[in-house]
Amino acid sequence: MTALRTHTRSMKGWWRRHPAYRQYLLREATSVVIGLYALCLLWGMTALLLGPGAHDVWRACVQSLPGRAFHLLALAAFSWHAWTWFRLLPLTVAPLRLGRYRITQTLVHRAALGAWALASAALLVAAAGGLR
Amino acid sequence: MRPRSPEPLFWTLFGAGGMLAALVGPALVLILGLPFPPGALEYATLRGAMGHPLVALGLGVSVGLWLFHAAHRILHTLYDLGVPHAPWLPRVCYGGATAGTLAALGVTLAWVLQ
Repeated sequence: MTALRTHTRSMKGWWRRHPAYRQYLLREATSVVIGLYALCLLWGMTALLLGPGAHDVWRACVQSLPGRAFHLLALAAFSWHAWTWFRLLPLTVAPLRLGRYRITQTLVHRAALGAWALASAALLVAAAGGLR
Repeated sequence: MRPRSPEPLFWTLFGAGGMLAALVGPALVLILGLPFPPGALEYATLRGAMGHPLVALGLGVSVGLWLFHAAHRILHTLYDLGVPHAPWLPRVCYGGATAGTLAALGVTLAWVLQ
């Protein structure tokens, strides 16, 4: 057996090689913020269950300057996650047919964006009406 | 025979969490971050909202699925960045998500049973 001596390019610093690679890393990085936000929600749910004192601590943290900055970051992360998620969605579903009609990738993308708008509007309306 | 891989389960949880985060995440952050409406973070208001079992259940499921979404994506991004495949790494990621999900389910159950 002779060992192959072909040159293999190192993967070191691969993200520096193309803007698309950095965009990919930015998209993956949204998951860190989403995970942290889930913990923030869990803390809020628990504090609310414990009583007004614990809830006040949570609310003060959410409305402090770092808390507001974190929410701004979370809004950016969730929005970028949603935008890229729906853009990739048509590639993850099998080709769909409805009778004679083929459901195109553009249609899947648009339907997903529509569902996003609808869900967001429903949530905001519920918050405006139900939580008053 | 090789033991079955749990990867499809983790991928499904990642997908479900990603879909939920994309659909309701931005609006939820807006409501709690602004807050919208201005009194949304009041104790009585939030307690009233959590009194609906669907709100408590929705939040609990969101927390659990988002944790699994984050765990899966962080793990595979670490691999992409060149972190070696050590057996403890997935255990920390998915174990942490499991612990957080169990806590969220407990809190949700307490809310629903109230």
